[in-house]
Amino acid sequence: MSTMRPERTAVILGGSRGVGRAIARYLAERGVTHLFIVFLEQVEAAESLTRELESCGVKVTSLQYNLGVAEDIQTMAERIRKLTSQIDYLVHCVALTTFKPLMRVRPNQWDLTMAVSTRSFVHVVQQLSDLMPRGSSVVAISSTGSQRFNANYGALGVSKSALESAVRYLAVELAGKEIRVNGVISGLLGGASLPLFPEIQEVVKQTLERTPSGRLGTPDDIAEAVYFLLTGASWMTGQHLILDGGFCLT
Amino acid sequence: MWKKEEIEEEVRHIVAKSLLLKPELVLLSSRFFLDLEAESIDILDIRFAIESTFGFKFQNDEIRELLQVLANEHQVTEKDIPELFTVGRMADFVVYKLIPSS
Ligand SMILES: NC(=O)c1ccc[n+]([C@@H]2O[C@H](COP(=O)([O-])OP(=O)(O)OC[C@H]3O[C@@H](n4cnc5c(N)ncnc54)[C@H](OP(=O)(O)O)[C@@H]3O)[C@@H](O)[C@H]2O)c1
Repeated sequence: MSTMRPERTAVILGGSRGVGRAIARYLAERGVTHLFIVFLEQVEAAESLTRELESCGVKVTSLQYNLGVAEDIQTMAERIRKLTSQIDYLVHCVALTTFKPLMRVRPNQWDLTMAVSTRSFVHVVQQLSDLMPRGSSVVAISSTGSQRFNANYGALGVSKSALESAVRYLAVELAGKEIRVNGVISGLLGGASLPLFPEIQEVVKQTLERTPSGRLGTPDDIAEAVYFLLTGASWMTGQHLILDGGFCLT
Repeated sequence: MWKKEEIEEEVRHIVAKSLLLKPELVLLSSRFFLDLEAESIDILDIRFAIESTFGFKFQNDEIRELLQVLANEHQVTEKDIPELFTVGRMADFVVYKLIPSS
């Protein structure tokens, strides 16, 4: 396993809760010295994470910006630029959508899903990649609904497919700068986002029945893989690791 | 400087645009969830459009708090909120943010 050198900076989009929070902790425990945590509105979650990580000696800058709005991304990038001259790791861990059949998704719902869950990834990379030195790395979090049908998941499923495609394109476009771009495709995780999904108990039951490992994933499972992609895997770019306990094999 | 009537008009247009409705069908008395069939993602969409148009940010679950205030005012529980949450209420909130003295 590779180890981190001193003075490492990471930007985690959607880093205050859920998977992003687990990634923030994981990186902080493994030597990242400055974390930028981007979130939308839950100030208390961002503040409690900041307190927790700062008490472990990590510098944390929490940034409240709406990644669904292009101007906000530009302002956020300007602010980051004033606070650091280098970003070693960039993680996109944000999604916003409505859970219902694709046939019933309205244009504004589609646009918002794409803007927050996909466009923001490309836009942030465009804005910040010049701060990323050779050997730095980008990871985006996708989901298994990008590859196969999941009831009520159409809008986000399509958005995640586009996200994965963007990973491949950016990987090639940034390869000359020796910036690697990869993704994690996650299966259903246990945790806070679960109740938003319709008939979630039934979805959990069916998912577990088809999952060879016999359990749902956790945010820490994802954080572990993200860390590997960020810090190891030095010849890997434009690829996705599937973490689903074997679900997609059955 | 925005006037109350201008804010109400603008909010009605934002709601109509988001929900793909004719502006004349969106009234201040229209209930988001019951009359306009809005969903929670639409409220976010409308919120973001309001923020861009009027140049302020909602903080810390302010919309949820607004709904809570509504429920308290009418001494009803959370499940009755859809009855109360109208376009006019949202406009009032913007008026309160932009013209605090109103
Ligand atoms: N949970 C699962 O089962 C699962 C499965 C597969 C893939 N994933 C993927 O993992 C990622 C994280 O999911 P999660 O379940 O951890 O989500 P979550 O708990 O809802 O956290 C989302 C994070 O993103 C931030 N955020 C949301 N919209 C934003 C916006 N417009 N601008 C800026 N920040 C915004 C939130 O900030 P606030 O706290 O301020 O709202 C929060 O920090 C997503 O890409 C999701 O698709 C999740």
